[in-house]
Amino acid sequence: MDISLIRQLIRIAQEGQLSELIVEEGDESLIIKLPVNASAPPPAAHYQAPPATLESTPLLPTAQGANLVHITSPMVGVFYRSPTPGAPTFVEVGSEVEVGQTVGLVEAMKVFNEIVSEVEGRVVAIPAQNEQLVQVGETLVIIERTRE
Amino acid sequence: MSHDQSLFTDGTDEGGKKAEGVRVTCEARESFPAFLLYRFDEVGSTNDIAKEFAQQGAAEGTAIVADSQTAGRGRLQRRWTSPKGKGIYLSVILRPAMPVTRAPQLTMLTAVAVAQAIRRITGLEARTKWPNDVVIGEKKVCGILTEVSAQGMNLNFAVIGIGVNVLMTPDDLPFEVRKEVTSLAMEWRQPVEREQVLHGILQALAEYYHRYRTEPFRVILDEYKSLDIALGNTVRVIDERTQIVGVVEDIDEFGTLTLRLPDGRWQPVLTGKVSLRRSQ
Repeated sequence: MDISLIRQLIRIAQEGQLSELIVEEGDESLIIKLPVNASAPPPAAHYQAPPATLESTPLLPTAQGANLVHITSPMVGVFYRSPTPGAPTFVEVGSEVEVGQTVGLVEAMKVFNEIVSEVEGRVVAIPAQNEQLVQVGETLVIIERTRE
Repeated sequence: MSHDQSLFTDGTDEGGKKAEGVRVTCEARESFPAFLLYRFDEVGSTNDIAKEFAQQGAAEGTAIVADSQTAGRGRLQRRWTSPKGKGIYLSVILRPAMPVTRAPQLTMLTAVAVAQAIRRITGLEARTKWPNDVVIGEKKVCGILTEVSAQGMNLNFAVIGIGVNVLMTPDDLPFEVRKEVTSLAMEWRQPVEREQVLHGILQALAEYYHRYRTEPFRVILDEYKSLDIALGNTVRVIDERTQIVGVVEDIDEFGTLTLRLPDGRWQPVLTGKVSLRRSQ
């Protein structure tokens, strides 16, 4: 079973939010187990980032309130907090954000995905570091909703 | 071609220049009936205009083309040299219904389409260079910058920015990039018209996008890999903070490069600039 097939199966499991995927092919069998919490990163062995950039910041334990909205990454990629190196960041902790406002970028293969807020509120935490490798479902920014 | 202003009856005002949509019919009509092409003399960046259009609801196939860009950009907002009348500065809106994780596939199919368009028009051996370039020899002739908007995990729209060096001479290029960048005119050494190249790219893009929607992506991926200059070679991958050297073993359907490192480990690479190393 080649590595690209295994990688594809992991993505399928992630996208389908499966906890376990078993594939049997001839004498080979592969079992992929993923955390039930979709926001947890996949097994590190398959998606290790370059050594200097691979640390993942755990979610803040305080960010569980009903009014707290986690903005997560829709794809694996590198998170950027500003539109260009050295430019002002899109948001800081304490920034007021509107619906549709850009709070960061995630890039993979030079495809840039503008991450926007779907709620109006105030930024209370930015768990993802600038230039950090982020996984599908990983929390990038946490916003306290101020208007329903 | 016929004029069509059904989407934006007033055109769009950019730097005092009015633009109006022109419908360009494609041979691959199954993809979308036509491109709706908006022409501008000068814009900041065609991608920015296209994103505005997309956010206002512009349909798939809406395209922006400009004679010059004052703020053309590449990866991480790096400047893309866009002298007036010398290149093709094009952005196309696509709206495939799919997870945003598949967005790199749009860059790959665009790279194949541009390489094939150049081959058909000039006979030059245009090839792809992971992740987002088209090259002749090892020199860049086209860069692709895809920007996407997601709704949840799904793609809302993608803007595919395509910059092609058509008529540039060495004098038009910044000194520091002359060893890495070329143009169709510099390579072909025959008269080449921007309009012909533009239409060739639009036709090829419609064709490959149609195939993307009707065939397994592996078919286009195999073509991308057969055209890629890095696959099988030793490369140095440079990103903002790290450099990795290894042999390119594979490029998967999500655009991830697999490097085999000198110690035998595999390293997936999501982004960075690739340069070939000949001395291995």
